[in-house]
Amino acid sequence: MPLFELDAFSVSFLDPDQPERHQTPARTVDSLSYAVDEGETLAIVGESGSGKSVSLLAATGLLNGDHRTEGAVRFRGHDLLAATPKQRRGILGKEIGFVFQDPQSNLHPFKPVGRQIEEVIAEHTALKPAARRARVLELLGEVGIQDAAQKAQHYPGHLSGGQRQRVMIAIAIALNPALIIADEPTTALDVSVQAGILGLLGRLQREHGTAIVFVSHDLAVVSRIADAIVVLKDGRLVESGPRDEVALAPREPYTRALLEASRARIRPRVRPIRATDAGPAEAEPKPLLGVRGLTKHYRRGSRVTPAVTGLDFTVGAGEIVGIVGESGSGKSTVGKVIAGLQFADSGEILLDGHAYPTKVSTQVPHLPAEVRRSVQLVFQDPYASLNPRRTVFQSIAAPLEANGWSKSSMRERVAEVARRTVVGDELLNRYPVALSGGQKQRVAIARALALGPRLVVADEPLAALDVTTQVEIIELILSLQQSLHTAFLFISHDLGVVAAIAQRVIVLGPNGVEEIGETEQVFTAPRSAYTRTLLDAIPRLDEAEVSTR
Amino acid sequence: MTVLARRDSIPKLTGPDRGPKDPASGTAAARRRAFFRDPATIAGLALIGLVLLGAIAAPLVAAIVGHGPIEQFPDESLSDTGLPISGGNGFLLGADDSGRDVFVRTLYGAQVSLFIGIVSTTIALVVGTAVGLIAGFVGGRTDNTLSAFTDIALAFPFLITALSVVTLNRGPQGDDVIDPAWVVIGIVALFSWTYFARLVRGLVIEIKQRSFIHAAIGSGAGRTRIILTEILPNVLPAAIIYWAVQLPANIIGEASLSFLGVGIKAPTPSWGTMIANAQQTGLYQYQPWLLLAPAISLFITILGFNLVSTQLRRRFDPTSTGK
Repeated sequence: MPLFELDAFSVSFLDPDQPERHQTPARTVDSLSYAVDEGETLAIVGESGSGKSVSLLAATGLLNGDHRTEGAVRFRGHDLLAATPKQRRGILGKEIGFVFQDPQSNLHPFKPVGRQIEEVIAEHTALKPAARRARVLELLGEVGIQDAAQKAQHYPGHLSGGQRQRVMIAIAIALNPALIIADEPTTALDVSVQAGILGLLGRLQREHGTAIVFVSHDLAVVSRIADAIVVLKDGRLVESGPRDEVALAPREPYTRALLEASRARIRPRVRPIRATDAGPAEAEPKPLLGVRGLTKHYRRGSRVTPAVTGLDFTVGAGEIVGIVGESGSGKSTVGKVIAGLQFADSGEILLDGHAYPTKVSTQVPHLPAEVRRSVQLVFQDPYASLNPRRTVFQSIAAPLEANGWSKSSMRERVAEVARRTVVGDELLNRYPVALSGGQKQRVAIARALALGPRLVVADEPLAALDVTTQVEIIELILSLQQSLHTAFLFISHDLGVVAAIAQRVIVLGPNGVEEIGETEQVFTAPRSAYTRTLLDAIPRLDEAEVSTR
Repeated sequence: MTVLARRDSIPKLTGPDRGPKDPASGTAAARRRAFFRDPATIAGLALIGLVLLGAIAAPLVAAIVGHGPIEQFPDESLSDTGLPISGGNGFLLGADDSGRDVFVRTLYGAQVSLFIGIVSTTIALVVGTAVGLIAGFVGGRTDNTLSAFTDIALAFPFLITALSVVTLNRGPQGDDVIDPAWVVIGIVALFSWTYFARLVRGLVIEIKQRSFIHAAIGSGAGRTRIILTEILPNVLPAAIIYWAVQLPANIIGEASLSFLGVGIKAPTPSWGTMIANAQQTGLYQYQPWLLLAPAISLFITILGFNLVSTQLRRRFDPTSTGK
């Protein structure tokens, strides 16, 4: 008997304003069946909207909103859907532990993390307070948090993203559950932190024989940890089987496409863009962007935290330069300063021969109009980067409007950049809510290009997208560089992505610049030990890598 | 879900799953449909329609029955002992102690209530939204100053302030310097703009963190343009919904002021003055309509607006959680 099993399980959402019996809604999850045995790791892979999260939330009774389920969900042979709330509570938390994507929103912000772990133990066991606290420290040690006694007193806000996820895992394993459901547990984390969390889950499984259901959009990540893989698309099962079969020799074209996307992302870019562009800076006497000694500190009250200190780099005309670093490395700050949204504390920035103002006089640096026009921005979160009340056309036209373009020339220009960024005509009158994440990001790029900038600062433009969409956007940026000769400053935490797109890479460590070099050199012969650890943390789909697990 | 179905071949992907959509966040058209189908909305709209119809038809009814709102007909409507009749003689709801038609006056009272309620709430919306936009967007010292003003305005006791303002409105001959209707509008607006300011300020502080604002700054848009084209369209729906929530409270505010004799003055028909008159003379024991007609009208108006505004909030307000 499998430990946890879905049997022809379907979920459909209901309109809360209609009587239920009158509705025959489309199935968001359609006749899904899979099973996990004791001590096994099953990965569920699919793009957003594939129903991978919804199926698990509905199966465990955690799904909010009006919905209908069909089929059966069995845990140790008991039907979870037929269980009373009380029976279900006895299983959830105790027998099944959960780890979600965003530990920030799943931990109580105003309770010390130690107490949050203790609450779970108090709820399900009869342990005395002293014994509970001892168990909390033991758990924190087990999930690899140093200084457990002290960290237990901390509030979630004082811990890093990786530490918070470790606390979530401590809560999930507090009662030695037979099954852990981990829903995109590493998506919000840096690569090296991700490697740590994956290693932790693998170790817990080996030591305690815990079964894991691991949900992810990234085939490369799951191939590190899974015994078996289930691939979902549009709520249906596409392919399932042992890991080596699915990840190395997929039968279905869809799985092959996912695999190809995962691979394309981490293939270092070695081809030069044009014969005339010698690429690196020494060939160009005057780079488009020159940065010398860029330093920026953040002040909160009396506390001063350095974000960047003494950064030197250049971006040539039409060149793509990547800035890689983990969270807290100050890479986004560099982007904001270059884009003219924040002042640098000191240092010199020259864009096309114009120096940025250095005196802090206004909230936003006052740049001459022609400098403003020549540097534009693309952001990480496509949800926040477009004004929800403006249509796609209005969004792309906004920078033109602000610069006093006439109505007719505006229409022409919008059509032109929309064509270049493959934003179809039929999208121009839609509002952002009716766009997919990839479409939104295309619109954001179109808006950035509207004024014909010479440099586009892209701050984690792929972080919120699925792998296949990431590849599309990478290809788009490369084609824009080719056709428009636009330079990009591409900021990312993901070395794999940067490898695929940038000609030169700047690696920012916690203590400043670790390495600046051409992409190929940084990837094949990194000079800094920090770069090497980052490289090792990238999940790969190479055959050798997979079979040596 | 219709949105999903309409998407073209570009995969509909948006990064890590964000779980199912909140049912309240469907397409605008679907929400509008659900709003208009809700029995509470229908009942509320019917009540508001009734009140509007009464207000519009007031002059027509007056012409048909031949009784103006402030004309007195002591011969036809007062008994020999001087007590008002409670019906008959062409007086549908009887007359008051001065022999005026209660029905006609109640209909005219709807005009006064709606006019003062709508104008004062609209002024509050405009002032409060402007203050909230500036305080939230500019921040810093400007925000501190404007927020202090808001707090001061909230600290004034409503009735005492109203009484003093009305006293100030007395000219040397004891007559009003400006029309008391405008004084009431001013007082009611003064006491309700703060809610709009606080709501809008909070929304603006959240919205100005979003990257589309940074994109606008980065493309060289000025402050005024950013406030008007990027931020205002995002806060206006919430402010307008709050307008509908505040309106019934302000109608009651007008009635309260008039009841206390500091608002609309007799003989101008206002529900507040009519209730006050009934209460002061004690004649409602003989002529119940004197009290019932304005009280029931007020009740219907408030109920109607509250039903609709609650539904509006539930369906359209992005800042409320729904049910």
